[in-house]
Formats: sequence, C-alpha cells, structure tokens
Amino acid sequence: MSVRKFSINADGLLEIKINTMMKNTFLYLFILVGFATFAQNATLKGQLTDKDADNQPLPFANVQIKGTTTGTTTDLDGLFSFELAPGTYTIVFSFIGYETIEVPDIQLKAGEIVTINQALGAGAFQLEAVEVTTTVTRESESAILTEQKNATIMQTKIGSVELSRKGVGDVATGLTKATGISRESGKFYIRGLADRYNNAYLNGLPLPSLDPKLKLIDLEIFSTNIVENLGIYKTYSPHLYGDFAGASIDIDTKDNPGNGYFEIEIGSSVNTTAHFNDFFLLNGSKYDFFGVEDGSRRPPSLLKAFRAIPDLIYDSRLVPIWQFDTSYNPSERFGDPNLNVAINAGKRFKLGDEARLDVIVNGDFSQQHKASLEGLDVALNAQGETLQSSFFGDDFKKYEFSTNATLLGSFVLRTDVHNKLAYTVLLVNDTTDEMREISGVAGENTDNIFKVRRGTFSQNTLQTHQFTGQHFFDQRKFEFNYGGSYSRATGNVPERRQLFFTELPDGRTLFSKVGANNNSDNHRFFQNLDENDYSARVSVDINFGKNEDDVYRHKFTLGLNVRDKSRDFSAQQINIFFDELSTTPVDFFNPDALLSRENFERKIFHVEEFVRPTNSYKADLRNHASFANIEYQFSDRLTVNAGLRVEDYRQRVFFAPEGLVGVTEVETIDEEFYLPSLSVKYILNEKSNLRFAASQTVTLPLFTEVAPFLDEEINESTLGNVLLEQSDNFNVDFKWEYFPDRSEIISATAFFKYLDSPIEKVRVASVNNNVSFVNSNEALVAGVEVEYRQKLSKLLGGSEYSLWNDLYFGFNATAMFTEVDIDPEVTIGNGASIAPTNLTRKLQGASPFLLNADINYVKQFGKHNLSTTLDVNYFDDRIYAAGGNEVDDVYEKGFATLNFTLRDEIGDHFVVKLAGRNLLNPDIERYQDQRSIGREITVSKFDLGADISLGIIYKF
Amino acid sequence: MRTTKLFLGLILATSLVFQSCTENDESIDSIVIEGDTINNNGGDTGGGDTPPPANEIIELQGNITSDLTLESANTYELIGGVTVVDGVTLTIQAGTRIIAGNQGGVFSFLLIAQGAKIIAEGTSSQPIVFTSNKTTPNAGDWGGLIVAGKAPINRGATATAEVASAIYGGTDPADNSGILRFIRLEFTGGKINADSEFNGLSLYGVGNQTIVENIQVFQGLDDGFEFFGGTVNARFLVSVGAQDDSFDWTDGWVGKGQFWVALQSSLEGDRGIEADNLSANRLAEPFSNPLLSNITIVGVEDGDGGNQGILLREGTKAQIYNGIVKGFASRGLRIQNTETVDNFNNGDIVIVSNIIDNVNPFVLESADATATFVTPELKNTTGPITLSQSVIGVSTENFTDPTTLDDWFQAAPYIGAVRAENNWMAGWVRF
Repeated sequence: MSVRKFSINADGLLEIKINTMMKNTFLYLFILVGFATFAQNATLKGQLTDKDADNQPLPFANVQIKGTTTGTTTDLDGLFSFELAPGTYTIVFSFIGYETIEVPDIQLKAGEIVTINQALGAGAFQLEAVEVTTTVTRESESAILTEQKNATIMQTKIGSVELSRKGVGDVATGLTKATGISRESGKFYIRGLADRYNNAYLNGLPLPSLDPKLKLIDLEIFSTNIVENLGIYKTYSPHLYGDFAGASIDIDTKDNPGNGYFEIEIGSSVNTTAHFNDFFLLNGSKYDFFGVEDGSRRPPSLLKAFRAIPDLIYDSRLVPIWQFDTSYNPSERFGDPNLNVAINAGKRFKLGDEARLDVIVNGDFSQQHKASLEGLDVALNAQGETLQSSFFGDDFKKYEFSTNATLLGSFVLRTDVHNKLAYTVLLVNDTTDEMREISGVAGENTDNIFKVRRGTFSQNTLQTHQFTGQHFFDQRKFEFNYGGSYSRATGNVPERRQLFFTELPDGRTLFSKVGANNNSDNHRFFQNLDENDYSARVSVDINFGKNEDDVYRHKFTLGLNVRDKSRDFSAQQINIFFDELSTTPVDFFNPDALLSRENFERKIFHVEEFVRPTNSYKADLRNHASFANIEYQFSDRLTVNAGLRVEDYRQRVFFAPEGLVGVTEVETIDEEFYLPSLSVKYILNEKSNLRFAASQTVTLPLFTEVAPFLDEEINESTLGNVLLEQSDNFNVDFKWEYFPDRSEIISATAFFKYLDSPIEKVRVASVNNNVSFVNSNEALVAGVEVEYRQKLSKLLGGSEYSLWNDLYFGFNATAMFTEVDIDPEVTIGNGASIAPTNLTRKLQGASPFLLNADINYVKQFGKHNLSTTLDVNYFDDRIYAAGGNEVDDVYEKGFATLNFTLRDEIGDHFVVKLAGRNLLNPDIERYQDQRSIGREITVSKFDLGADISLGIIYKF
Repeated sequence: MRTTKLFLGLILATSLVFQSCTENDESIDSIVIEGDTINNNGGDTGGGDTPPPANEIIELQGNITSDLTLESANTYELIGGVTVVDGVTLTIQAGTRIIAGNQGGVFSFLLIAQGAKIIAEGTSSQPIVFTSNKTTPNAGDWGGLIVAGKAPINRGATATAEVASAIYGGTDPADNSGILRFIRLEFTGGKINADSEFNGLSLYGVGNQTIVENIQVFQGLDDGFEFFGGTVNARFLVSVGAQDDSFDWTDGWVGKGQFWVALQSSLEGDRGIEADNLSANRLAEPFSNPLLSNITIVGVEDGDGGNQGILLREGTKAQIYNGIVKGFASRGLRIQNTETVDNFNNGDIVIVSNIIDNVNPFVLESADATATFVTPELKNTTGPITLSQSVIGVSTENFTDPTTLDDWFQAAPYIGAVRAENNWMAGWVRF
C-alpha cells in the first residue's frame, strides 16, 4: 500500500488517494480537517461504507488502533468516533466477511477532530469476534447472508447487488431468484401457494393491488433501481398482517445515498419475436410511446348524458353523433427497439455536527415489447373436443407493448444516530397495450371459422406517500418505530375494443359470431378502479437483560397496525349492433371501412350501452391489529421469539344484485383473529444454525371473489361467491443453515402447512360454465427447500488461484407434496353445486418441483470489473384450473427460463450491461389432462420471445 | 351473533382504544336488503277487498313471498327480476296482461323458483299475455318466463341457471311447478350478460307433474323454448320469430312433446331444434332423451345460410316421430359429434315417420355412421310437402300412431303438428 497522490479539492478538503496494490482498486480516502479545539485529546471519527453496495454505511464494523487494544465498532450508520492522545496511528478497519484495511500515518494533534471515511469491500474472509445483535439492512450478498445468519427469525433477502448482477430490471423478476418462488403470467407462486396467499409491503407498510382480481400488486412495476433489498418472509412474525400463508414481500426502498452519487443510464433492448416481425396494435393516443393516454380512449360523453334520463339507455340511433377517436383496424406501431432511461441521484446534506438529510431521487422509464405469433387457445369438454361456446383458436397472435415510469423520492432526516425521520414518495405509471388475434373452427358450428381481435389498453398508477420514524432512547434500550402511509392506486382500462368475425364456408367473412348471436362479443369496454389505502404502524421495542459484554439479550415488542382501504370499481360497455352490415362481407384487416363515421351517422349500424348493475361495486376493509412479541435469548445458542397478534377485521362489499332494480346489498366478513407465532433459533456453531417456526394465520378472500359480479373473459366467466369465508392456516417450518464462508450458504428447510377451508377457484355447475370460488374442505402442503451457494473451486477442489476461484455456483430447489380435499356438496352463494371432476387433487398452482440455479463469474482485468451470470429457473407441471362436469384439470406445463447477464464496470464512470433474457424461449403451454380418454391435450400455447438488451451507465 | 372480546388488555392496554371503537357496529353486521315488497299502489293484490281501478298499471317488484293472484281486470308491470319464492303460489287469471321492459339495463323477468308454483290458466279466447312495455316493441325488450324445478339434471346435483342465479335440478322427477296454459310471451330475450340472453320460456329441471300446454313465444331475441334437464312434458308449443333456436334442450331433459310449431323470421334465426346432452361432458347422465311427435319446423333464410332444422349433438338421445322439417338453408336434420352418432347407430336416437323437405335433408357427421335414415322401416322421406300459412298442413302417409308410443300422447294419425281442419293455434297464437 502506498500513497499515490495528494490534492486539495474545491471544498478545501485534503483528499488522499491510496492505491491498494493488493486489490488493484482505487480507494478513496477523504480526510476532513476540522477547526482546532482547545481540548487536550484529539478526536478521530468517520464513517465506514460498503464498497460493494454503492458505498452505503457499514454498521458494526471494527475500528482498531493497530498495536493497541483501543477500538470501537461503527454504529447503524457506519459512524464511529473516539478520543485519542495526540500522535501518529495506524487504523485498522475490518468487518466480518470483508477485507481488512490498514490506514497508516494518521497524525492527530491536540484538539483536532480528524475524520476518516473508509470504504470496505470484498476481501479474504476473516471471522472476527463481532457480535451482531441487530437486524440491519444491507445490499451486498455477503452482507445479506451475514444478516440472514444473525437474524433471530427466518428471512430471505435479495439485495440490489444480486439483482444487478443477475441483470434483473424489476422486482417481480428479482423475486423469482429466491427459493421456492416462481411466476407466470404476472402471478406469483410461493411454495406453490398462488397470489391469494401472498402480500406486498413497501418499507413495512402494506401496498394495494392494482388488479381487482389479484391480492399482490404487480411487482413488475417496481424498477430495481429503487430497491435496497427485497425481504421475503416465508415464516410469519406478528408484525406482519395476519393474511399470510405463502410469503410476505417487503420492498425496502433506497434511503441512504452514501457519499452521494449521480448516474444516468441509457439502454435499449429488442425482443426476438416482437422486433424481428411486424408488430401490430390498435390505434390510440399520440403519446402511448411514453405511457401517456391523452384521452383518445374514452367512453362517449353521451353515455353520461343518457344516464341522467331515467329508463333510457344510450342508443346511437337516437343521437347519431360520432364521439370516437379510436377504431378497430390493426396498425403497425412502435416497431423500434425498446428505450430505457434512468436517472439515479443521491446526496447527503450535513445539517450541523450530527444531523444530516439524505436525499435520493430515482427516475426510471422503460418500454417492453412482447409478441407471440404461433399460439393456441381453446376450451375443451370432457371428450377433449372444442366446447360449444369456444372455438379452436389454433391461429393465435398476441402483441404487447408496455411502458413503466417510476419516480421515487426518499428524504431521510437523521438528527443524530438515535433519531431518524423519513418521507418516501413513490409514483408509478404503468401501461400495457395488448392486441390479440385468434382464429379457429367454431365449436358451435364446425363449418364456420370464428375470428376475434381484442385490443386492451390498461393503465395502472400508484402514488404512495410514507412517513416513518425511528427513535432510540436510553442508550438504545428503547426503540420506537412508527409509520403512516397513504396510497392511491388506479387500475383503469381506458378502452378495450373487441370484434368477432365469422368466415363462412362460402368464403365470405361477416361481422360477429354467426349463429351465436351475442351482441357483447363486439364492444368497447371502459373500466375504472380507484383505491385509497391508509395504513399506520406503531411499535416499541424494549431491550433488557444485558450480558457481560453490555449487549442486550432480550427484547419485548408491542405494536399496533391500522389499515383502512376502500375501493370503487365501475365498468361501462358499449355493444355494436351491425344492423344493415350484418350480411355485408367485411375484410378482417379493415373493419373500419364499414364501421365508419359515415355509416354510423347514417345509422347503417349503431351502438348501445350495455348496462349491468353488477358492473359497479364498492368495497372496503378495515383492520385494527395489535401485537406483542418477545425475543428471549435463553443462552448464547438459543433464542426464542414468541408472539401474538390480534386483528379486528371487517371487510364489506357493496353491490347491486343481478336482476333487481335500485337495490344495494352488502356482504360482510367481520371477525377477530388470534394469531400466535413461535420462532426458535439454535446456534449449532459459528457457521451453522437450526431454526424452527410455527404460526397460525388466515387467508382472506378478495373483494371480487365475494361480490356476485360476473367477470367475463373470452373463454371463461367468473362469478363471486357471497358465502366465501377466510381460511385458517397452520404453518410449521424447520431449517438448517450453514455458512461455510463469505458469500456461501448451504441450507435445507422442511415446511408443512395445513389449510382449513382453503379458498379455491372451481367450475360451477352453471349453464354458462362459470367459475367461482368455494371453501374446500382442507389442504395439505408439505415440502423441502434447499439452497446452496459456493465457490466452484470448493466444489471442484481447485487451488486457490485457479479460474474456479472466480466462479460462484448457486442453486435453490423446492420439492413439494400438496393435496386438496373438495367437498362435493359445497355450494356457492346462489345455491349451485360445483360438480368437481376430482375430489382429491393437487393444490392449484403448486409445482411438485421448482429450481433456480446460477453460475456467476467475477473477475477484474485492469480497469474492467467484470461480472457475468448465467441463471436458469424451472418449474414442474402444475394445476392451472380445476375441472368440473368430468372435464379434467388443466395443467400448466413446466418450462425453463435461461438468462444471461454481463456487467462490466470500466473505470470510475462507465458501466456496460449486456443481457439476454428467456434465451430458450420455450412455448408456454397448458394442457387438459383428460384421463377419461387417456390424453393430455394442449389448450393454450404462446411464447414470450427472447429479450436482448444493452445498457450504459455513466456515473458522474 | 358477535361477541365483544376485550381481552386484548392482556396484550396491550393502548390497543383497547382501537378495539373498543369497533365494537359498536353490530347493526351493520349483515345488512341484506331484500326486495320483497310488492308495490300494488295501495291495493291488496293478494285477494283483497277493493281491486284497483282497471287500466291502472300495477307494478310487481322483487320477491313475491306470499300467495298472490294477478287479475285479468288489471295490467301488471314487472320491474326488474320478480321471483316467486319457495312455497308461494302465483295465480294469473285468464286474459291478464303483464308488461315488462328494462330499468336502466336490468331486464325484467318472472322466475318461478324451486318449490314455488305458478297457476296461469288462460283460454284460447283469453290467453295470458306477457309483452313489452314499449309502444314500438322489439325482440329483447324484456327477459322472459323462467320456471325452476327439482327434477333430475345431468350438470350436477343442482346447478345455476343462465339468469337470476336460479337454482335448478334435484331428485324428484314428479316435481310440480304448477300449470301454464294458453300463454303468449312476446318480445322476450333481453340480455343477461355477455354470454346469455333470456329465452322466451325457460324450463329448468321442471318435473312431470307440471302442466305446460298452449304456449307461444313471439319474437324472442334468443331461443323460443329451452329445456334444461327435468322431466316436464309439453304440448301445443309455438315459436314464431325466435332469433336463435326455436326449441332447445340440454342438461338431460327426458320429457315428452307433441304438437310443436316453429317458424323462423328473415331477420335472424338459427336452428329449429338444437338438442344437447351436455356440452361439457357428452356422456353425462341422465342423457337427454325426449320423445317427440307431431312437430312442424319451418326455416326462413336470414342471410348467413347457416340455419339448420334439427341438430342433435353433444351426446343427446332422442325419439322423433311424425315431424316435418322444411326450408332450412344449411341442413334438415343433422346428427353431430361422435357420441351422438354412436347413439344413432346404437338405436338410442330414433327418427321415424318424418318428412325432411330440405336441401341436405339428412346429415350424419361421422365416418363411422352405419345407419341411414330413409328406409321403408323408418318411413322417413324427403318430401316435398306443401304447407299453408307457412306451418299448416300434414301428411297422412307413413305416419306412426303416437298413442302407441306412450299413453301421454293424444291421437294424431298424421305427420306434422297442425291439421288445417283442426287449427289449434286459432284465437291465441300471433304471427
């Protein structure tokens, strides 16, 4: 180690650059020379930061004066300070799992305050006798593993470092890197438990979903640029809401700018299917490219005008005024590669000796194309043939263009190391423009070919404001945490346009499904979902029982949570009546020629509003919860957490029942839940732990599952069930974990869940082949998870200097057994039975086997700091939909996703990223396992295309 | 029902503040607003003292929860879905007029729920008429008449109807939903949702003690008559201008039918008879297997060239005697799907003494089809046959005496539904 360069920077600070030849990296050392004081001693203070995590503070690291016993550890914010007699010292910085750095020749004069800010990074592993007693939040993988090791409850975290190493751009994809998690068609399956069993939090406060049919918000809308880490709680602890079974995901947003940064990222990507073929969408707004809908898609204002007149429904024949800016022809749009831009900035403002304000702003805009040109979509009966109401859509094309804009602001005020106040604001605008074209032989009349074109533009927005505070009292004996959040979410469909066509045996194509006579097939649809979500949390930690090292051994936590959420949902639809056009041949690619303004004004065809009272509903929930938890360290090895949460829960859905005029009904679930939990950690030795957790939790139905609202898709309609109740869940986990070395882990978990009356989606014995939701008898989930991450050199027994030393290999796998018992007598709210095909089967969405694996190569070549990752996710076949009336269950066929990421940090300013996603581009297939005829028949098929992206980050 | 639990004090005193706030709302525990009022404008329509003056429209709304008689002196209007609930009898006097429409998109209908009864006995000169409330009526102006019973179906132990979430089906073949006689249902077929419209008369799991005779559906936007399982028998049925199928059965209907007439309109129409066992499972039991005699099914071209006379499909069985099928652009009588063709080959579909005067008269849709239709034993012919007023006329050759088929059948020694010399449609049927 030698001193390379001295300079005085613009702030009058003495800046010393040190070249640590050993690591061949630049380290920055800032020495701030303060004004002299009249004190006898000198003060040495500073901050340790994590080089591997954008220089965020590194807490609990050791700071030692070489050759003495004088030393200290850094606090939560990486700060340290001690007084020394004047002299020349060598300071040693070290931390478990990090390099040890010596800074020589620190000269201290009487009365001086010397500040040393030091970054620590990867280094030879040295186990230090560091007692880590508090859960801390870190980004780097090794720090996260250290945290995981030391935590008294079971948790998994994925840090931003791992996310960026694997080239993950959004939170949803990031989660699929964790054990036992898979994702398909925007839905999460955690240990085989689908959306209903999972919840999302932002900084510990609950997040509303934007999709009325889902409980978990679409995590794809969160760019990883805003993420410090993703916490995955697969075991329950009482500070979480009791609606828990699979996992609760906590997105911890960045709030610490370290020493400040400003970077700009520009990137572009292409999708092999979407960009290498012509790309079609319906027309729309001028600014769709940016995800801004300018009002072109909207219901005609006459709808509203007609509403004001009793007993009159909008019928364009009465007022043939053309009020549409959009039409039905497909057009080539947005053929260019995707654009991705991000700006990330962070700065620390010192407000006096100790106080400081940390500001982080992340802005992110990205686009995505997807296309599938050789898909399939059909619904089959028990004989494996096309269902009457369906058609054999073996010509299936799907195009999707989506945009995401995210703005995160984080303002954290630390008055001193004991008090922290934070305001976080998150704004998200997410749009998806999708067009599907499906053609195939009609089930009803096999002489005809039905064709449908459906274009859906959906726009989700979220604005969240959070205010949180953390205060320590009495030398950290008491910790006081609180937070309040207001979120407003909208989930809108500004317009959906759908047209059916029939190709007759004589070659003519006519509008609509000839012979099927259904006006709703041809429509414009508009949906608004508006959700307001208020939540608050307050908790107090009381530490007690200091040990001989002056460290608290026990902790008692008391807390309150309140959540108040309301939803307003409404949908409108206009149906097209073809009148004189119903026998006029039409060009499938040019329906606008006939559905023209002129023909509309001349009343050659007309439109009517299709009113259904069930198209609107309101819903709210209110949850008042209190919890208590005690963490008790029985010995150096054994720590027990025991807690109880009590929730006073009320959920109401207000709806208009079908067929009744001017009537509103309300369905209420009003319950008190008592949810005990227990978590035990036993430290086997310095490198391994045994853990046990058990809890009782609940799973609550969604608003839409309760409201008797009929939700109509192309091949399936879903009806809510007013009789639906919550299920009670009993969870047990048993885990062994072993941390052989830095960044290494081997763990195995056995888990067991018993779900009493689980909610399941089933086919109802109804004339329309509706699906609905019922409480099944019971379900059993039992499984084993293993996680493994090590240097390949260890695995292959290579020497310390071999290539293998730079290669890390990791995988996690989950094997599961699930079984559901269905009560054939169960009926839905209107009394209909469900005619289940199988009375015992696997749990919906549960794959018997899941695997995530990756190989990571990290190497420095001169100025290049290279990280390359190849990762693969695989899930085994799982039930997609349970059958009824002898129609067998539909399975989702398992497939593997292969991704490649290369990240090269060139010098101090540039990072180049090259990534290939979904490189195998497998067909995503569903099949009906029709055992009565001994066949597995494909009912759905599409692919996503592979994505190749290139991005450049410039750091100022 | 809800007990106050304040033991939280054990855990945390402060939480009491919260919890107690929420304990005072027992009143909103379960609000169910039932539309069980009958707005009778002050009068007691349940057989009261002073009947309201004639020509005044009496509104019916929500559930009818006690026995009620609709009197011929009045006009009644259905407001939204009107349901006669379990245990209640609705009586309608001959000649009563009931109008219906939609209220902000809620199409009115009358549902006779499981366990309820309707006694609606019109006469040929004084039929009971359900019609549109519009001055210029159109098909689809209101819903239709729905009867739900407890006779067996094959869709499940019980099932839900297309409309009103009505439950139907059960284990009582001899279930009795009452009497429907001389009724005309006009301009039915309002929309229920994207997949469904109301049929004129929907018979869901109706039992064979129910009497269904002399019913007409005029200008319905969906099917004329539809049988969803059950055992009910029906005669003297007329469907005119149904824009979907004139007659339709599914879900395991096993009743009998005689004297059925279907006449399509040029506006729109599909099949004369569309017959399913069960689309989701063609082998579901009990199989649809009605016994029909003396039917006249007449098609009219509506522009798409796709109309068919009789379509037997999705595994149905059937015995059809003495039928006339005429004027369908696509096919006369068609048997579709392997399971249905198997039924024909096995003798579970019996087609005897029919005249199919049509292009493509008989179509068997399977390479395995071994049977033929036109044999001396089966006595089927391809016509031609001449009909007056589109549907009147019979053939006295090759007929099978229906009284030999089952005691229920009335004597009718001819092929066809309506003999000119005995026009049973006179007086109450509208064209």
